[in-house]
Amino acid sequence: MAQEIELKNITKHFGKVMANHQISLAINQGEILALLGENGSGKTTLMNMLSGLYYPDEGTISVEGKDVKITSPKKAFDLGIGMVHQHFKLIDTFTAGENIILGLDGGFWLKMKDVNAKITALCDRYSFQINLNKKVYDMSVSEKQKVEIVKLLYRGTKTLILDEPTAVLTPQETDNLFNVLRLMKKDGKAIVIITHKLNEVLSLSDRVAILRNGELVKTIMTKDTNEGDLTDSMVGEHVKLNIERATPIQPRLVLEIKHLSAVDAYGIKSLKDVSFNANSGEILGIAGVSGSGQKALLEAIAGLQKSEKGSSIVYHYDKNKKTLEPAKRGKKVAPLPNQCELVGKSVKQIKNLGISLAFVPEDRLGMGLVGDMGMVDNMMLRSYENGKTPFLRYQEPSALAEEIRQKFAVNTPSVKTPVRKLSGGNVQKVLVGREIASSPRVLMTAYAVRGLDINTSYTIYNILNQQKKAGLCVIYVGEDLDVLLELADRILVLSDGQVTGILDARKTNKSEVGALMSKQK
Amino acid sequence: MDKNESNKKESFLRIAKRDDLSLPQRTMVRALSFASAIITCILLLWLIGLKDPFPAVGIIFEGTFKGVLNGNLKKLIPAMQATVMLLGIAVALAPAYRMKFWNVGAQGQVLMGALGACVVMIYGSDLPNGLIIFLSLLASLSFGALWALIPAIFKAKWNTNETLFTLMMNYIAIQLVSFCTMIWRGKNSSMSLINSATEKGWLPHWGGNDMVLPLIVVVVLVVLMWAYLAKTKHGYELIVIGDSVNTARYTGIKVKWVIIRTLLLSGALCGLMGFLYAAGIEHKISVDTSGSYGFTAIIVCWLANMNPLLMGGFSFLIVFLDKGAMNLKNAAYASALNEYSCELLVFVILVSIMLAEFFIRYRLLLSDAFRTKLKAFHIRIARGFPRCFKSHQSEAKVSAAANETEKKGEPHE
Repeated sequence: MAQEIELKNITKHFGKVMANHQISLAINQGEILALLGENGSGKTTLMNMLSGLYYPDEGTISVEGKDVKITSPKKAFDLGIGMVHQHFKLIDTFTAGENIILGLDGGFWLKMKDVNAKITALCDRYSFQINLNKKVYDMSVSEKQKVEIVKLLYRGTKTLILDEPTAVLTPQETDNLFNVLRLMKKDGKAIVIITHKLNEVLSLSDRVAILRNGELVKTIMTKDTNEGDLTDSMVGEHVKLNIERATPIQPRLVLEIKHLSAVDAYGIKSLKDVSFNANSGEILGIAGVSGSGQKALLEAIAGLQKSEKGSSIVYHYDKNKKTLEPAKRGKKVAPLPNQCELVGKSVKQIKNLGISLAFVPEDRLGMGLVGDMGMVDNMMLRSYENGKTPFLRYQEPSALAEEIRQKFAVNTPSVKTPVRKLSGGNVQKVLVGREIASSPRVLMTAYAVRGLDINTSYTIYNILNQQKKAGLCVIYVGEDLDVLLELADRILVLSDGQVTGILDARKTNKSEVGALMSKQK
Repeated sequence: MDKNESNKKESFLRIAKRDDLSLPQRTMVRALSFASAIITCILLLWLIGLKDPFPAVGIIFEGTFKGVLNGNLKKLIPAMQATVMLLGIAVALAPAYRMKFWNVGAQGQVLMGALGACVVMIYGSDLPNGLIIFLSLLASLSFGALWALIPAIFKAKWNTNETLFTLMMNYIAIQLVSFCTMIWRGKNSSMSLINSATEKGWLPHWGGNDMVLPLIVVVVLVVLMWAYLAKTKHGYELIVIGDSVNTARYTGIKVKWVIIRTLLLSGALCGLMGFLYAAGIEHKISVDTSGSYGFTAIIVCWLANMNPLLMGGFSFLIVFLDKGAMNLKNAAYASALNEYSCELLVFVILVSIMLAEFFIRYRLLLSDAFRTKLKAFHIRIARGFPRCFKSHQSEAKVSAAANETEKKGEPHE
């Protein structure tokens, strides 16, 4: 088997973060190589250096035995390397055919007939079905993916890199894609698929390279390995973090989620029949590779994401609390019901029902805070509607901003400094501080420590633990399994929008969680 | 990992937001850029072939202030009238722009407002005067609001591009107005004043001047709009939506409703300006009624960074430049000066104002790589020139220094 590309000691930093460290890897003709690893393990970064989007800090790349410098995507094309990204790079208003020839040199006149004939020949060869005159905006995700692949083939690509190609496909579409890839392999193409799905690795690839924390753990022939072995290499040994974890005190049912399904903006099912309970005084960890439905789940609970028919999210009121606070003078206060259905209710309706859901979203500055506003104005995001006049009230938010600044040691020149100027950790403290200030009963956090340094991360863990002790129902979506295993009381594992398991965090281990994360129902 | 930040190729120039300049510093930047604009203008005039370009500055100044300095304040009226119109429209645009809804349809919205007033004045001329004024105000507000509502609904429902949509609405308004004027003027070459005999539906000329009432209305509008944007819950919602629709959704703001509500307000206020113009000043309508104020107001709104309190100054400045250029052209001060070279001067000054505002809000950062190159280039020049007259020793020093900087690079700012 001839070697197509060789990577030697490739290293790439992003600021302080080591994305790839001393990686050496060969990519062979007529072979499907699977690049396996968790989120942030450096798979995509490594391949982006082949496709010309990034340039390695150290190390060399050789193509067909010659050392090359891949300085641009154009250069990568010239070397026969093509990549299908997770987000397609097609022009919506062009047809498939037009997209395929886009950016190619050629004569002055477009000869669409010749082009189409050539494309059709290519498609027949790999048993692709594609309508060349269809506009991209009319296409399904899998059709778009086909266009991307044909585009690469048309340019004479010898090495095809696919970044999580099956994330957006149905099982049938996945099978079709795999058949096409196998035909290409027979044809002598070198194929790399970036994935975290073990079953795909085992069924499709010839060889697996496993990355963890930016380093190449090992490269092994697929026939010599198995699921358990791969999982262990992917997640690695458990690292002790010594996060404190108290036993839940009198856990009571707060959220009861039954058969929750949701569809994302592209019409793909992001949640499929999810059912679980979340209790007070407990941290429920949610594990899963990114894009497994975590975002949709939290947003569905918060009232930001529409749920499909048959879904149910039942909120159980605090039994000690009899009425909606504050009691209005002169009016008879209706007693609180025992429970309330949240599906179909907007953010405001949920709030008006006296249900206090705190939500620390993944996108801190794009969703949780307004970057151009200072702390004071950002405090108002949740409370600006208080008061009967149409005017804003500044006293309470100002006091709250000052309080959060001191309590969490937020490092900012003033409470009026735009929050986008603060460091990631301080931004997160502002956001978390505001959310718990509303004395909620449910606290949902998505990737609460992403991008934060060790100290700030522990600050956040402490805050979450305090909230848990205070009787909150905490839902913690995380990506670091070590943290989830030590912080959470129970771990719910999502894979592809489905619940693949709910585990007792005290009794489980990394491989068990890792296996469930890549399990396909 | 932020993929944008880690792009391998750094462009040699970057733009970064800044808000660290004090008021005196900002004034300084503005004054300097204005002075340099004047100098550039004089240079331009000199290049065109004027031997003595300095009087041109005076002529530009006279465009607005001729006679005013002698105490004849009435001479200021045309400029004030234009300023009031411009200011009013800019204020009307402000709420939509806070939300980053780029309404470029003020032209059409003002025209529709004026049309509404004229329709009532013409077809309701038998009604009592007060009622006509009331009805025409109502018609103006609703016509203007309607013209903004249509694109707003499309934006809210289907996320259409509001810039194209509002722009095209302008042309529909222009065609509608020219259709109506064609009917109303009958066989005359142009429309005559509406109700010229009875003056029905005309706004009162307080102080003997048709400018006073619109001026008061617009000043009140400026203050109210400032309070609306800075002090109310609605104003807060606009900023949140402008920053991120996702944050707005997260907060529970009904984004679609706010878009529609705000554009109704914005359009109605544009309609109000059309009303003031048609019922208060012109007493008739033509496709030129709103001049190009609808578009110029966009510049005013931007220069003032959507702050109504600053819009008055910028409106006046633009009117001043416009009148100045016209005066320069009409003064026949030199045959070389035609309409176009006058416009060119206005352009130079406008660009200088915009640059001043740009440098107040942003700073330019050179990339490290480019700085190093620049430094090396400087040194190479320094190395090249002394060779003519200096000894080899100093040259060696310079080249040693050059090597050092090339090695170290420049420390990051």
